[in-house]
Amino acid sequence: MSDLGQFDLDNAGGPSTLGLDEEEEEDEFGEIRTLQQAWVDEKLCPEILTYESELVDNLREQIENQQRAITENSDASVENKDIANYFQMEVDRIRFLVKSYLRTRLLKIEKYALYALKTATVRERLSQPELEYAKSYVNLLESHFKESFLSALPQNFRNLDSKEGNLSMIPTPNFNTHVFFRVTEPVGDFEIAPGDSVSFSQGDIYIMRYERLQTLLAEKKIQLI
Amino acid sequence: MHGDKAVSLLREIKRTRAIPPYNEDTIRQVVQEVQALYNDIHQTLNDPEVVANDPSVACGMIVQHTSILRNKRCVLAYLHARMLRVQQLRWELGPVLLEEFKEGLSHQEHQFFRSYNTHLNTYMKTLDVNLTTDMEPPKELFIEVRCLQDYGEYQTENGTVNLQENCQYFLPRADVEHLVRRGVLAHVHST
Repeated sequence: MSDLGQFDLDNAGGPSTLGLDEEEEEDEFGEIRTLQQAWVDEKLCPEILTYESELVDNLREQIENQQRAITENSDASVENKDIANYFQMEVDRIRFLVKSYLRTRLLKIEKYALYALKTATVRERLSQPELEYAKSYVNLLESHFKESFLSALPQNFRNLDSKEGNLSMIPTPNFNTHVFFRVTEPVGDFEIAPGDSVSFSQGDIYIMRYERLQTLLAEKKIQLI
Repeated sequence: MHGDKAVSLLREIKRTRAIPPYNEDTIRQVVQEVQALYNDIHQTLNDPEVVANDPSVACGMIVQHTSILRNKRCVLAYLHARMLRVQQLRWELGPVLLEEFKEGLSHQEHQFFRSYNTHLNTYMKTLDVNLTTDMEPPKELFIEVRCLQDYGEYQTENGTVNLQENCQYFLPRADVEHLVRRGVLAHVHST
């Protein structure tokens, strides 16, 4: 059997029967775990977070390499086939992780496309393909509404971003959503409301409105759970 | 009363989970209502005998203007809700619109489906990844499926399989995922 020994059997830290030493193991799984956390954060957060370009690219490369190694050894003996199945499962799981991460972001982009394009801070968090997708999605939306209905209306009523008495037509993320989070780095006293602060120590778990947590999450001092 | 027809559209879309047939008639009626309201407002403004600043006149015009906006909002909500469901079809059933859905959609919704498909494919191609597969976390490598319709020959990575109705097969998950989603195969959960 050729060198499949660089990958471990079980993603969740199971027995390492192929003699992988501690450091190498951390490197391999460090990226997977980081993307896993980024994926959880993205799923639970009401707004779009920064695109983890390096992580995604590296993991996709690893997926390709491992998949190629598995297919090249597909004519191995029976017991090796068993082991190959485990590697295949691992590849499947990492592939799912990457795709679900991209899908979650895409869904949020579709939901808040116009808002994302108009807000510079959010626009910066999108990757180049996501930016292109957001632009074409907004155009698609506009032309669909125009052709189905708006073009039949009088001229002044044809736009899609008007503000009628405090109600904007552009959907924005709800920053008042409550989120559960765990503190990963000591933060100290944190202001949760004007005049009211709580001490955030490492390992604490709280639930709070998302709005004030934006910076903490961006600095990776908390993770959503 | 103003806005009733537009609200009926919303009721219709709220009550169905699938996509009800496109209600072109009601939309046309709403457009006519909006046009009538608009003309009314302009007539009032252009009428030399009417004092526009008079509270009763101004009130009437505000009601008409607000009704136009309400109609617009309701119809856009209706169109948007339908559009999201059409979008969902692409993710669940693939890039081709199935026959059973074609009739209920308007011409513009067909166009939307096609364009949405194109843009999604462009994005996926740029990243070189198919986001519509692997929709669920993989539990096992091979799964037990039962065939619900006579499908015929199907190519898997380990060779071809002949899918016949009511027969059970043990196949690689990746190959059969989209068939399960389309309803051709049913996943048999082992107890």
